[in-house]
Amino acid sequence: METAPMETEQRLVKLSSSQGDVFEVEFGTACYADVVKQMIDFTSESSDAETIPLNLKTTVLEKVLQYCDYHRDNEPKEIPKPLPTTNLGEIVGDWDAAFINVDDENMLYELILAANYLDIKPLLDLACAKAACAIKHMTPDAIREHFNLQPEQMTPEEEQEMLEELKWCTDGGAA
Amino acid sequence: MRPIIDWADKANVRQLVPLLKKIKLLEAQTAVVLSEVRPYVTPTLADKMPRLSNSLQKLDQSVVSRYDMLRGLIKTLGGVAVAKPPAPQPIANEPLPPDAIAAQPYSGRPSLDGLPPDVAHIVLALLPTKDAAPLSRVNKFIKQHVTDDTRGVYRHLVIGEDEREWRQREDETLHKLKQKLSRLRTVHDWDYYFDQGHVPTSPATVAFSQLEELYVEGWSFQRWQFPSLLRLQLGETSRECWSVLPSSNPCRRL
Repeated sequence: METAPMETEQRLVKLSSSQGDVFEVEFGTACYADVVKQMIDFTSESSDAETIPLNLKTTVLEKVLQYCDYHRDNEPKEIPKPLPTTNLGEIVGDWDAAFINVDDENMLYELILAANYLDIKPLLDLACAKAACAIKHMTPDAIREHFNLQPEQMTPEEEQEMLEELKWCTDGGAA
Repeated sequence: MRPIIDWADKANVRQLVPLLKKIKLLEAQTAVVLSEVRPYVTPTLADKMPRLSNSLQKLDQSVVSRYDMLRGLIKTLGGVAVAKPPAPQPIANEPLPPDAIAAQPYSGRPSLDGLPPDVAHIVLALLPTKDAAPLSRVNKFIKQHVTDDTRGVYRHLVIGEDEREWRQREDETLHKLKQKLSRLRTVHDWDYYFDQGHVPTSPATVAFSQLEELYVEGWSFQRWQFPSLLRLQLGETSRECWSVLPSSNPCRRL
């Protein structure tokens, strides 16, 4: 009676990155991502050993699988809105805070896109929380500089209108 | 202090615990059978066979001791911490034909302004509205996200824990803000600042006709109406609000 779940648990699934790197992971880890689960359900009807291709870079897939492997047995903490602090460790715990503390800004946004693509809501929330923490205390100018974004070309009238619109939320009432 | 096991042993522990529970159950059953034995060891029988009584007593103690030991082991194994898993490593490289790659529904560039609108709104919702609204000055892409008419910051108000002061503006500013807030769909409020004392109310009763979600710690909305409210989450200090919810309110989740 207990063999069925054990077999499922021990079943291995192959996932490949867009660069062709193949990862072999436990069924439970792969199925943490709803989209992958649906793909497995679909492909297992035709072939058991089929590799599931995912449109993710190897480094990103590796990181996502690390998250899934950990959280399949450790339920992630819910992230409150708004973030009560920018110290993520206090909100999500040490493991998640260390996991999402990536050096490369691009990796963070790749993870956000990957979590969205694979429908892993806790990872999406975690990565979005990290992004929110990063921009929380930045001025629009600092954000533009940090992300290498082009400023919007506005007419003086448009600029004035926007400053008026944002008056309520700027310190001292002046934008 | 909790023992920390290797990531690789996590599966072994998962198998070990049910087996130990099985043994513990057998020990419990043995204890029950031993208790059934005792009435048959009469004083006269114990007199004639002193070793029988002693042996049964030792057996009884041994079962209790093993049961306790198993219980301790199960508790310890149940509380172990697992070391951080090693990063998964690829086992092969098999270049796939381009048409085999599953299409990604959205592939923006990995940056703040390259996020899909749904995702950008998750980021914005984690920031208090006071911090999120000024982001509209960054550039036109981010402005679109911030002021989006269906999910932008003026449709989803998020008020931080220490943000009383932003409502204490001059009337003209608040009047403009109120016009925007009247179309709110969700409110996440840390405390009960979002009341008639802080956001101007005129006329006396204000209807938030489109508000569907309200998360608030305190309650002071006696002059406010939320005819479309579907989800309401309140803090411990807000229990008295049940009486002010109209019986016809369509609220589905409290």
